[in-house]
Amino acid sequence: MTIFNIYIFDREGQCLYYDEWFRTKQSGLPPIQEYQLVFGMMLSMKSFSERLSTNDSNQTVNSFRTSAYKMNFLESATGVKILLNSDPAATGMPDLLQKIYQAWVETVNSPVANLLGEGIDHGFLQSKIRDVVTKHPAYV
Amino acid sequence: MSKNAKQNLADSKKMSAELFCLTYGSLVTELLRDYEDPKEVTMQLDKMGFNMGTRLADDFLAKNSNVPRCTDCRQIAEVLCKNAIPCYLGTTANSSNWVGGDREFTIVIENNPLNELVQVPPNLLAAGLSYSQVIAGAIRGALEAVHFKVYATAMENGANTEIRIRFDSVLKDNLPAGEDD
Amino acid sequence: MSIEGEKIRMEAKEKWGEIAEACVDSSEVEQYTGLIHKAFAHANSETQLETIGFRVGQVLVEKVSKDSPKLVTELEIVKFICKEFWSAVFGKQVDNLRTNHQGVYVVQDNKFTTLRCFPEGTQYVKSSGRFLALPCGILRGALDSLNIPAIVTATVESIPAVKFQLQIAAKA
Repeated sequence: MTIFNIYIFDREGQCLYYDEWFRTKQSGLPPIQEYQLVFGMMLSMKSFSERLSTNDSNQTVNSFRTSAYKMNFLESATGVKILLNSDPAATGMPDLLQKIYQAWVETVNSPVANLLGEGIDHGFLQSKIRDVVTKHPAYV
Repeated sequence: MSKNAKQNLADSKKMSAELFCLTYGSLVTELLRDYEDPKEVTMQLDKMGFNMGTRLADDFLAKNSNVPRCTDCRQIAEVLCKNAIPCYLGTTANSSNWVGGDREFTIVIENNPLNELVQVPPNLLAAGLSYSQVIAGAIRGALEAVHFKVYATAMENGANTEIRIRFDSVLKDNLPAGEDD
Repeated sequence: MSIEGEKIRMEAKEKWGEIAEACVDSSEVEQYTGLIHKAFAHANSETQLETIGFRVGQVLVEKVSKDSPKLVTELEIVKFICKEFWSAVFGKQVDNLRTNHQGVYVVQDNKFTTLRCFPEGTQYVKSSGRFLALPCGILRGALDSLNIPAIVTATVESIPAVKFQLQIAAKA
């Protein structure tokens, strides 16, 4: 089992964080374009699933799966979006996404980052996220 | 925040209730000295609360993944009273006084810790100081972060604090240029 | 006012003096507003936080000390601050206390509460100063209530360890 890569977007659709572990093939797109593509796909998927929903219940899109990978989604009520590509058989992904969200809250969203004005640097967030991901049983 | 957990203070992110309460009181005193007008101080407290709330929303959601998404004011009130207020203020709260087709309600915070060691002079209250407005501001900020626009004001009522909340509208997500849903 | 803050202000003033002399156009002045602010703002955020802390410390020490035996000597009082007061307010006791026996005490806390949410290390040492103004004020207020007027400053070498210097003013 493997975790391939991760994207975190803010509510405006800006990619705040990208990281990868066992991604052996690149998309060939400039990173910005790839981020836009991923974000746009998620929005489309959301509106698609809402349009075709068979009842009025409050639903969320959790993942989509191909034969080669599974893209897991988490969208917080505040609009932070985390997308994580894993092995199709990987389990415990919602839990991992939640942990990554916590790491994001503790660094980028922390009161300290706010008061420092400059924000907490990318490295701090990176070390936290890498820590969470590499410790997860689905990693390797 | 907790009073009986001193031995755990060093490890947890909690802080002593007395320190919290006194620091807040001292902050309000300093604001009164700075702005002189109690109404202006209320506005500043509201603004501070708002900024706290927008961040607390994420903090709350990250810690409470089991809280369901709210679709109406009854649910919002439920989460505020049962989860958010106990979590951040360490006290209990109840909603009441529903009017306007459930668009307006009051949250009564029992034994508001901000008020615990403080006697707010009646003349300041009469002049428009809303001592706990920071809580109302935080609620407004947190709800705005989850796309609910509300108005919130705080009123002191003995040991309790009442937060009057009026629902305004549901906010739409900003979409990046070129994306239309 | 902390000595540290005073020093920063003096340096800023000096620097501004040099720049002011070299300036020919008033539009140039605008880019130095930050520096001017530093040099002439007497009620900056750190001073205000220190004042807020001072009042908190004054009241808080009464509450913490009401059940403790009477504190007589200066050393007893400082020890009380480092043990009972410190754990009540900052959640733990200090890690080290040293004195030169001439009214200067250096208190070390290796994991100071307000810096706990900072990334550890040296990177944010500069920005952490603002976060220590309040605790400095609290300590000064507490000492003041126990009849020991002092100047309290904090230095950070590596987060989250902090050294507080309590400089007791000579008794009149």
